Amino acid sequence: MTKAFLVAAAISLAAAPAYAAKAKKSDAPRKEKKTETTPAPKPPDTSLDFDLLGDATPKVSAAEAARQLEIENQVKLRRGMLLWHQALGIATWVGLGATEVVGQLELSDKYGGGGDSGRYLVPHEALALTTAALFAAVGTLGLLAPTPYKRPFKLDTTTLHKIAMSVATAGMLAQVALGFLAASREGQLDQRTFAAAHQISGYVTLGAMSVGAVVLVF
Amino acid sequence: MRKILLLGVLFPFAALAQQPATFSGEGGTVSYKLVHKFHEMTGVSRSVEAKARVLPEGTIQVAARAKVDSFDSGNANRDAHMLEAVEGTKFPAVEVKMVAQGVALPAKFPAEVKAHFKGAVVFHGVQQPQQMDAALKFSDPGHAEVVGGFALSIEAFGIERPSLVFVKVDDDLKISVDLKMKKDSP
Repeated sequence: MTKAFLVAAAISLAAAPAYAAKAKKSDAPRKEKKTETTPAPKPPDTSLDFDLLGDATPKVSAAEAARQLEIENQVKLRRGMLLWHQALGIATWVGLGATEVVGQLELSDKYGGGGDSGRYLVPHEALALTTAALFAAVGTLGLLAPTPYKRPFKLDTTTLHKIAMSVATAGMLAQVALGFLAASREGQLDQRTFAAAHQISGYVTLGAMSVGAVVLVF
Repeated sequence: MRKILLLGVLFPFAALAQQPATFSGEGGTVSYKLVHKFHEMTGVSRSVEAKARVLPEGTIQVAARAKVDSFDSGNANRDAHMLEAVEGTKFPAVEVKMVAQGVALPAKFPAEVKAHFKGAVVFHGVQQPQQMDAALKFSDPGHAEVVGGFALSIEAFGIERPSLVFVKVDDDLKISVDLKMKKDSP
């Protein structure tokens, strides 16, 4: 009896559509000849009027709305500050390069057979002070820009940029100090030593700034 | 009497064959690719909510949702910049709803079926129509993988394109989808 039931169940899976069609045929009136009309197939549902995931949008409370507004304001401020950070950063990089070139000319004029005319001294000092001021402004903007969307620490391009600019900051401070020191040793035998140290710190600063810029952009 | 008994056995099984089937997401990724003049950026989200419903006439309805702060490009600053651009606090998720018609579901497994989806994407509070060609890979009747992709216009969703060194990213945002789905038990 159980076997017969199982066999019937297995057959029904295969024969269900055929059986349904046969059942329909036997219901049709025998005397009248009518053409059977199969119902028109249901048009496929193309509408997006379905909800499989539920509404995830949380209702915004007054406190949450205020927080969102605060974040918006911080984002606007951040974007503005970083725009200036980029613009002044490029200007600082160019200025530092020009300072290095004029500084090298000054060094060659003083110790490289240039006759120590002193004609590059004032331009070098002017460029150096302007670049140092720009560097300070750029660094301040970068450090003080708000971070409304905090992300976990990663060793990524931004971190490398910050490391390189930290080296550049140390180099900038060193070369400003060494520059004043070298200038104060005019006529002394050790002036050339301080000038060389000032030159090296200048190149290190420019190199670090270049690395800091390149890692962020590319 | 025997005929009635047989009918009682036949019709429940016939009814089961006509039921819609629902699949839920169990893993998978959604990723975006953004191009800047100086570099490319790919962000991947592994926290995707997805559900699909297969209707008897071969219609497949799919809905998927991913939180914008779940996308990780490997660069924290760029991820933060992305959240700023899409106003992640106000519009925390990107959603997709699509329908494919006339999909011939496989009888043998494993199998792969192509489907063309039409629907919409909701991003940054803006809804835009979207289409996607996808491959539905069935390892068995209860498991499927949806692999597909499409391209969006950032500005079409009211998003200001981010820039770096005063150069904006391309407007084109390429989306890739790889969703693993499991059939829900009835």
